[in-house]
Amino acid sequence: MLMSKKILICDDDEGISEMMKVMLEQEGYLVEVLSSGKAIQKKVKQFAPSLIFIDLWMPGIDGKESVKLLKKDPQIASIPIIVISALHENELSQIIKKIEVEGFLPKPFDMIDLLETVKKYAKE
Amino acid sequence: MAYFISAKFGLKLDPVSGFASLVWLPTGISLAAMLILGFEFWPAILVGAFLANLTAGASIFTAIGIALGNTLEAFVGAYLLKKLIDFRNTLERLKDVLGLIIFAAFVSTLISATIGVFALLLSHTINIKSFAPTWYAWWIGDMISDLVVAPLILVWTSKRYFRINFTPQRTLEVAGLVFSIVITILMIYGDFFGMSNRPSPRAYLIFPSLIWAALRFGSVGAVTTTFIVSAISLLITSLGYGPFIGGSLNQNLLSVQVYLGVMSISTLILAALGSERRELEQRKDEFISIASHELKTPITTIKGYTQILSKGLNIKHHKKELFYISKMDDQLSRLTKLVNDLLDVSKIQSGTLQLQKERVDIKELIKGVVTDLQLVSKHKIIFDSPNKELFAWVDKYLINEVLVNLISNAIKYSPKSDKVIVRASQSDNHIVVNVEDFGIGISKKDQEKIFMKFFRAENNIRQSFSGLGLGLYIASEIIRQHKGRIWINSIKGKGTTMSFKIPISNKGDAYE
Repeated sequence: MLMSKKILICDDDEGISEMMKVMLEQEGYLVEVLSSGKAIQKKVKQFAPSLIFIDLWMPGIDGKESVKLLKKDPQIASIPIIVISALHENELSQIIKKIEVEGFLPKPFDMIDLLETVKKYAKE
Repeated sequence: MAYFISAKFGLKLDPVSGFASLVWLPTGISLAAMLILGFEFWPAILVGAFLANLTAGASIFTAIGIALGNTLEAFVGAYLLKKLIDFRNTLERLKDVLGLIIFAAFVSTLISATIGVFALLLSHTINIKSFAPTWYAWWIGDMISDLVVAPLILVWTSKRYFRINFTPQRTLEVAGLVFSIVITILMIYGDFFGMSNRPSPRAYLIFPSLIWAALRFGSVGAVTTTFIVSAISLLITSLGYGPFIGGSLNQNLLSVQVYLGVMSISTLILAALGSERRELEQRKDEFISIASHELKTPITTIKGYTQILSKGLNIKHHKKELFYISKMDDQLSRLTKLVNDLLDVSKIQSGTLQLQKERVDIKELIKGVVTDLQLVSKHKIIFDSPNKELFAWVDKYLINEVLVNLISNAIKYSPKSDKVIVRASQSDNHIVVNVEDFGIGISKKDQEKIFMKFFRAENNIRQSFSGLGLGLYIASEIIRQHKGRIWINSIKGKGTTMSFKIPISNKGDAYE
């Protein structure tokens, strides 16, 4: 069942992560939200999500650093990461070439974009 | 050390009454040192000035007097600048330049000239008759040093300078500027280089080159060119050539100094005004960029909740509610487009819109856009293309944006028609795309302005077409950056065909 699929959202803007949580929970996903990259490594290990959404711009440990942290850890490196950002697609596509992420979701996105991304990338 | 050596050099050049030199580098060096290293640097200046004057033949008393004057001058100049206007060494603000001119060049130099000349008078090195000319020469010499030497050191030692990005175009421009200065110097001081030279106000021929340096290269350009031109002018004049020759060496040097002063003041002010304007432009672009980024997150959130809301409603029982939500969604889409357009424009204007080119099948790209837009349009979008792929090196996201823009416009401006035709083909080394509608058309007069920023064609039903009028401007800039061309064919009342062509190959492109 879909219920088994867990999604972690890491964004300093609670408005958007709460909205994403509602959307995904309606579709039967189990969702947890983090408001900073501070404890992301620990959280990922404990929650073991099938997919992680990370905002590129966050105060403190930003998206790029969080990705690096996660991808360096062999225990969790295989979990797909999608970067969320307000940057233009053409800039975002360049940034993700430099960091190890599976994909990106440019803001503003809608429900179809989000659900398609999850379907495409979430690990079995 | 620097003070001592430069002072010895200045005193070599025919000092008035032995000490008041018209070429006095140490004043500018001292002021710059005080501003860069801090006020505690004063003992070094005092010792340097003392030794320079002592070895030039001054008595101990006179040397102390002059050295005190020199030190106080630098101290007061630096103090006034720091305390009164929070001086910045980059000279990129008008207030810094005006401060340097008024507090350092005009005011602080009065101290050194007055104390120094009094010291000479009291030690009977000069008599009361030569007091005024000596004082004047001293003052002018110091003033020019603060206007020419100090700015050079201040600007070149501030880290900001190293941020200049030397692109090939920029290097070429520097070469052009150097060339224009060399030519002008040859024209002004032709007699020195063995060419005939008729007397004329030719000294002012240097101004266009200096204005160029100031406006295009900011304070770095201004101080560097001013210093080089000053050094050459002083050297040639002291050797007895150039347009400033007419009287004694001192009179000649005095007239060249006045010329250099005017030159330096004008160039520095222009450079600061230019820098301030650029700074303002940059701030504006940054503001638009940050504001647009910040707007995107709440728009995403609101859009998300409207979709969540409509998902929970039943079309049978909540027809009205769903209709209202769809209206909200339309407005959010409009807001999204507005924010994206503003961001694009700010990037275009600041020159930061960079193409990320890759080999893309334009046919597939168009198909994608047509499919997406067909979902939300009542018009039939017909795509007519040859039976083969149409590959080109483009930024797929940006060309996608152009296509969305042109096709959406075609739909928007043909409310009474039922179709839009998109054609793509290859001709020579280009891909040509046409978007044809059968709508309201655009008058000949408006066609010329259609690619201008914020332009919207005048028509009777203007109110019913929303938007800022940025779409075609952005599209034309994107096509232009692809080294392509965009154009319009339209007959009012019959319809419009928007076309663009972009090169297939990537060759000869400086960005790749």
